[in-house]
Amino acid sequence: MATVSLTSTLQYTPPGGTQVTVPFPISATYTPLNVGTIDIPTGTAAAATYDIPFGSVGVPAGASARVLLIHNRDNNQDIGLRINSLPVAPAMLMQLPAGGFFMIAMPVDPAANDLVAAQIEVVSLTTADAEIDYFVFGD
Amino acid sequence: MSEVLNVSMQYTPPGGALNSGTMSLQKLSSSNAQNAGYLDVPDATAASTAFTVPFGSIGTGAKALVVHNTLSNPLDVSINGTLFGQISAGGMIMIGVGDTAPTANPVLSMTLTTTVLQSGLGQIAYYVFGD
Repeated sequence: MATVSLTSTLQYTPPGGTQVTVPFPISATYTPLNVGTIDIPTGTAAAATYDIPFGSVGVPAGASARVLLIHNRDNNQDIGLRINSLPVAPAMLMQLPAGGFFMIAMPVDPAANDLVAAQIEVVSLTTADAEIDYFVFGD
Repeated sequence: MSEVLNVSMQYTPPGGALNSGTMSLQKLSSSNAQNAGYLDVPDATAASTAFTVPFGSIGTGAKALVVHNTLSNPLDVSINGTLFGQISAGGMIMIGVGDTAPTANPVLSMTLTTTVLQSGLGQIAYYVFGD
């Protein structure tokens, strides 16, 4: 068992104030992990889907990913996103523009509605090779 | 106004030395509207009580969003009306969209729902930027 440590921050300026930095330190133990890059070749059609590899994260039932990060890193267009196969295709939970990211980080498993799947969807014909980074840590 | 989301991660990659895996990313955006605060969850709040994250005048989608569950219990999470999972106690969700709006399906709403009877006063921190 190992530990993934996240030191995320938000910098913003509240109304009438000066810039503040809000830290969100989270650490989670994990045994299985899946990290990598999904390549989306030029010419990939819209509506093509790619499952984020969870491997044995979420197995057996009751286990869950504790950290999921999807980064639309090297891509000139949006990707669609579904979590836990929701909403049902063709609907999308949201779209991430180029450079955008989505992250859930939890120190422990949730009690229900475990985080066990994520899927990205190409929203329009790709005009350049694209790369999507993913990080999945769980028990 | 501008805001910056930073993420730094450290882990042990397969075959690598302990804690030798690192990743960092940053997402900047400039917003005209912001909503930041705490949702208070009073003592004895029933399970299945929904709390809507205030988006205020953000009508074209969040450019940056952070929710931190500082309760001692998990929360069900919905984005754009779809309940897709939970955030455990102490967990967070962070979304960095940036200044380029998605072509469709922007983040327009988030709802957090208690999963058990709340014991003691609790809080959920939220930060939403956009427009």
